[in-house]
Amino acid sequence: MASLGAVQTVHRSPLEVFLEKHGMLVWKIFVAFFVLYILMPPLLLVAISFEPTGVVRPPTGFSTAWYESMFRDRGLQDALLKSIVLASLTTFIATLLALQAALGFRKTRFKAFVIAVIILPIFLPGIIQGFSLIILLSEVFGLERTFWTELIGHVTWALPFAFLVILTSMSAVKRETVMAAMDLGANEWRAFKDIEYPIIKPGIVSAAIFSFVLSLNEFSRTYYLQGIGPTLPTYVWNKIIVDITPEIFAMSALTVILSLTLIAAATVYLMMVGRVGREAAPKKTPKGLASAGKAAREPAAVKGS
Amino acid sequence: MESRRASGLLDVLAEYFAGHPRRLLLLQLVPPLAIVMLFVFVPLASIFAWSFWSIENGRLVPTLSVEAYTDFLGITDAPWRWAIFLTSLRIAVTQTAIAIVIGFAIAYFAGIKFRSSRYTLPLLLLFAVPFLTSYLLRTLSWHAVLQRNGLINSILRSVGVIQVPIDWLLFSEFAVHVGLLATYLPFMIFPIWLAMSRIELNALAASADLGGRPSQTLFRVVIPLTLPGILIGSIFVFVGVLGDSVVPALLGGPGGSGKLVANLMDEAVRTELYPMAGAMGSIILLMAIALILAWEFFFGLKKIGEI
Repeated sequence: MASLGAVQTVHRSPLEVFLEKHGMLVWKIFVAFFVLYILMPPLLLVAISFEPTGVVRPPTGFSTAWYESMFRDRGLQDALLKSIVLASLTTFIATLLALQAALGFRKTRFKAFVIAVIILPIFLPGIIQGFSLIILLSEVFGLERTFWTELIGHVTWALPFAFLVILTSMSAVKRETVMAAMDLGANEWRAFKDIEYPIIKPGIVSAAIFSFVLSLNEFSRTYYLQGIGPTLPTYVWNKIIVDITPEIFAMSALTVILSLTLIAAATVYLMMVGRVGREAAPKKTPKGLASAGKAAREPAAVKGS
Repeated sequence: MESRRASGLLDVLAEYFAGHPRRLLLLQLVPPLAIVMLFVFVPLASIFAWSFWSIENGRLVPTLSVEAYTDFLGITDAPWRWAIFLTSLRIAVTQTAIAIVIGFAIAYFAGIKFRSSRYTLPLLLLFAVPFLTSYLLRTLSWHAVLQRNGLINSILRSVGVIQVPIDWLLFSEFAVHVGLLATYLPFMIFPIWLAMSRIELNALAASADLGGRPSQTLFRVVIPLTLPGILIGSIFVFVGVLGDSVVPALLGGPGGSGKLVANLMDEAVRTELYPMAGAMGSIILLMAIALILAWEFFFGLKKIGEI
């Protein structure tokens, strides 16, 4: 350290010296702690769901008893079925709308407006969106709470995420390639189908998977909008407010496992686009959310590619 | 040629739209925009109107009444709602500050220290997982960590640090902050990381070459350049915390942290006090709009990078 002090005229505190020596290690421990902080609780739920005593504590054994009693629960089966139907419809509608919006986005002059309208709902509290929509539909228009009101809520929730994922995957498409195809006589449909679609297909599939997962886990809006019968999250909520039983951990664990598996699949698939069009690699990883921040920060920044 | 015939109808449509590109554009953009406008923006705008309406015979009728606001402020009713709102504001500000410090550090690691690594994107992706898993279950899972016989108490007892379990870990303001941070930290990390990733590493090297100490480089170069990201992240966290009812309901406890302004809104909706729900929603939305306009005023859309 003496030689360092001789070279650098600036005085260094012991902390700075320590950080200089072990800086990267301190950083890695710090960041690893917060990765664990965010991921550990859901994974702990999975561990607890296999705990024979049904007590929340570090697991002592392995048992599938809570899964067995969970699967005997008729109410849960109905909720699960309803969630899957709702998520499937949401996936189809939201992905289609997102693709339309992303295709139109590149051509319109009002990019800032389009992106602001579609992205902004991500950042407004779900509870306010949920109750404002149900008051409008039920009190002002006199509609009943049904499956369809839920579907509306879920589509508006999934749409911005699907839009961002497809939009980022589109940045791998070079404008010149499409232009060349059209110069060679392809119309817009052919250019899309033969040139663009193969490139952005992972983006579309990932957008669909994300929509499904988002709908499957949606709570705040469903809570206000739901018609007859709960979805999986609202069923869990109804149980939690009465009493937290081990079956709830089994249900929760099941949803966590399903969601994480789907997210991992979507991620791996999206990474593959990176290899198709490698120049846009940093942009097209499924950080739709990262782009959301960027888009919200600088709505007019996205000039299309 | 086979596929050409199969898409014959689409080709006809494509020919038509090739001649009418504006109609195609409208067909592509209008449905998604209309759905978001109709089912998100119209209801949100309506809550401003409802906050001035009244409930008569169980129906919401258009009037110009400020009763919801005066009740909320405690002028025409006991000021308990206002007290809860102030507690919520305090918790939201505290949480925003915590998220700035930790989010900035993580973004600095991912955006500058660790920028060139191929593990940076997978790392950021791990922080995006909370966006996609159930926020209800994520919050519930903190019970397993924080409760009397939960993970932390078990570890501390087996190590011998404590003999009696700590009971303020769960159902306390501490637990609310723990739960909120797990939900809102990514909202802070991503905007700051985006700003960081645009900083040229040369600029930092230049600062060091000119004799800048690391702390000077941090305060004079990195923080000013990432300020737009820090502020947008703060808006997300602040507004998100004010709109969160699940974390206080599941993790909060005595001392006011079990019932925050979002729980009041929920209560008002369930008891059909729609003008009151509208008034509280309006106040939160107005704060969000004011913060976004302030951001726009200071940084503006002119500071545009390219994607």
